[in-house]
Amino acid sequence: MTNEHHNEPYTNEDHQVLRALDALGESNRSAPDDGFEHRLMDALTPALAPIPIPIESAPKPFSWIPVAAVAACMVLVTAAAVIFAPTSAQTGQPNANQTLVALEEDLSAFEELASLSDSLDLSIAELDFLTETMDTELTHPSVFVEFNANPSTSGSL
Amino acid sequence: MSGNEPQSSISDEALTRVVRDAADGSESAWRELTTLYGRRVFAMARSRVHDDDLAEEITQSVFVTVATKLTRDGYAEQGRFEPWLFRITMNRVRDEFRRRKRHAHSTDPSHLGDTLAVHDTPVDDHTPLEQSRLREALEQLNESDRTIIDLRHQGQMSFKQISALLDEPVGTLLARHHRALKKLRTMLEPQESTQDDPGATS
Repeated sequence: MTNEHHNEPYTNEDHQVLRALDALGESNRSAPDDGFEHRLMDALTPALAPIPIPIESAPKPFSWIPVAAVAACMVLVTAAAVIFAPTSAQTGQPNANQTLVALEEDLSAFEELASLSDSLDLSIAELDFLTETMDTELTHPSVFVEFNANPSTSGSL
Repeated sequence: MSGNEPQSSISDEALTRVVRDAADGSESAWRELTTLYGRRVFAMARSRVHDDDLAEEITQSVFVTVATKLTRDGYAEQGRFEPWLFRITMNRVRDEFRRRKRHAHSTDPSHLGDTLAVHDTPVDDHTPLEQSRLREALEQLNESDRTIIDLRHQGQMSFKQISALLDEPVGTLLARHHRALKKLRTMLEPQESTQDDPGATS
């Protein structure tokens, strides 16, 4: 037998060393007792066990059923609200447009009142009386601002 | 080159199938792998640490690492299992030596000598060469020569597999193996003591 790479023949001494190395390897491989493989499998068991996923963090499978059910409920509720919603005439309550017109009318009345109080030098108490008479209230912010900004309108009787 | 073929050989295709089954968690596949490679890994470790318990501990650590990586990442590299397995083994042995050196330095310096000394293990007197002498000679080899000898004769790896593991050409490995053999042969040659040959002293 030769060393193929260098084409150098192995001597008897080389073969003796090779045999000794193989024998040493065999001695090492046969050193463990019969329970060696069993202990090795025991050591492997924890590494092979599947990692348990905590229940609370386990992902739930996606399903369209609850999504569709919620969407259907929302459509039904919306439709029912539109169909059965009472009209302004039924409730006697003003709708949004009516409320806006009323506020504009109130503002016009306040502006007239402010002009009047300015010319007549009316006090707040007198204005209160007048507004109650006009069935309005001194609650509009612009009116307060205008009255507070003009001392002539806050004089006393 | 020598009669150093693995006792439990397996074809590449069969090995790929077994490793893939092992990656899927098959217990029977793991039994086959431990039967095929457990003692070869043990022999690699034992030849370096000279301690049966420690060698078995290293072997278990190597297989746990392999199992963890295989079951987590799967197996895709056909024909690379053995070089990978024995690379992990070599790294574990080196880790153990580093750990023991640190321990020896940090505790009792007198332990350092024991750490690196050759511990006699039972010797098979039927072998042509006395194994204790062979172990001592192996300790005198440099690291690269020793690695090739161990992978070849303890791990029973082919030169092709060693080439894949060490990333070196097969021809280079053959030459280094042959050189290592010659060094061992020189170290193991019967020492012609000067006391036995009075004429040599004159």
